[in-house]
Amino acid sequence: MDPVLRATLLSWDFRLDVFLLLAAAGTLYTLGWYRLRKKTVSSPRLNRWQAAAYWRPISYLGALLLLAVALMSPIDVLAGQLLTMHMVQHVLVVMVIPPLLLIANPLPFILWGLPHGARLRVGRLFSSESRVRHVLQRITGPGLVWIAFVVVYWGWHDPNAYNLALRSAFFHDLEHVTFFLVAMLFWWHVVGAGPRIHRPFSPFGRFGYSLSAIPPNMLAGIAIVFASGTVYTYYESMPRLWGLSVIEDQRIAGVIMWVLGSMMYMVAALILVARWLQAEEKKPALPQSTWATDEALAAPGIEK
Amino acid sequence: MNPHISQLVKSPTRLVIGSLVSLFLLLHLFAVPHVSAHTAGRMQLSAEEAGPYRLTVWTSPEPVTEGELHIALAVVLAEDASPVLDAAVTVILTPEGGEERLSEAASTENSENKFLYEAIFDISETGAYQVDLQVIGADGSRGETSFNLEVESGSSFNWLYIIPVAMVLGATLLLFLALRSRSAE
Repeated sequence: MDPVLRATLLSWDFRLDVFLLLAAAGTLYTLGWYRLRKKTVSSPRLNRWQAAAYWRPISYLGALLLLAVALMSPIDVLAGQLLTMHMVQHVLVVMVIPPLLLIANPLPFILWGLPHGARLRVGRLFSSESRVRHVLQRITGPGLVWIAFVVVYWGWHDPNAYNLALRSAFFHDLEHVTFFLVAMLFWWHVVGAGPRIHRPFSPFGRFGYSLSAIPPNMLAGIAIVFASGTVYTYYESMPRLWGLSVIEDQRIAGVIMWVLGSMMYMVAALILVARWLQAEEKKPALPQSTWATDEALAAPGIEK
Repeated sequence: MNPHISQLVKSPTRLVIGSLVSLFLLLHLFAVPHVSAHTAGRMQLSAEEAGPYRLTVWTSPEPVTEGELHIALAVVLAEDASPVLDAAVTVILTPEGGEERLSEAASTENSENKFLYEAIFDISETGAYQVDLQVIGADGSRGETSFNLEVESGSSFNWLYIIPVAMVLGATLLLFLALRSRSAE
């Protein structure tokens, strides 16, 4: 086997803290999903296919698996050598994993995974009189979240901050945690997952909110693609793999951020439109007496 | 049973939160310092020319103290910066006073990142050291370079880890206060 490929495939960074967190998150969700499913099966009034459908744990556990791959596989290890690999890791952490986690609507399932007393106590934190809920409501409004998302995203792409994250394991972890947190908050508004503590967006609002992340992402990607020199100088001291120079690697990474990153928000927006149209289709048709009057047929739109 | 413990066992929320906090504290306080996959640690040499090679070298922990010392090297060909993965790499530590030298072979097996060679030392004395690096390629070509290293006394605990621990503790305290005020209502 090619020695570079061999070294790539063997470079894993197994981390007990990451593994335990992912295992705890997966166990709580699966347990909660199982309990809710049993409950809905015994109750004909509850629609189990909606509440505890099979696709939910598949999406959630798939996202956790992707997170493990992003944080412990050769993608993570090579992120220190190739900006391209680092960008793939960021696309996964910011644009792929959070929506996959959130479409599974994790909060109610994780609550049901907790013991009875703990479930009630944590659940009460999101009740309409809870102080925690009021504080959360204030600090996680869509406007503030968008600003936090852009500041964190652009902030970490500043060359000094980025080089610092590459040189220090602590700052690299901090970079990932802050990316993931702001991305979860951003996608929370797009997906509309629980806890539903804000006034819900209209379908058009969610569509627009998803697209609003494209310009800042594109700007950062374009700046990296068209930079004349090395933006992240740390990579100059690293072994070059597969014959890629620092500048070539930088351009590929910029294209990934610009095109692939923007595409993720576009795909989400298109899915939202498709779901909106599906919901419209399911609405009952207007009675014939409404649309088949002489006035309506002669000049649609001006009838009483 | 101790009343505090029985209270904790009766309150699953506190038990879960307490366990999570203990877990984080344990993981961060007792984590063995190592050169991570991202070559974290202090960069001592950056693309330093050594014969037909260029060497980039990191040391960890930061600051270097008595105990375990990790020295990681990236060895690349000077002409095109492609990685050299089949060289024999030796790291030699010489204390300033010229006492007994420490020598270890650096290998990719020791490193999580298989593009880096890593040597692990157990340092028992503080002070200044000279670190000599010798690389012998599969074709016999040789490269050598060196740098100086100061080994300090004291703990190698990374105080930066206090930040996430303090954040977790702060969040736990807030959650606990919120839960207590709810149950009081």
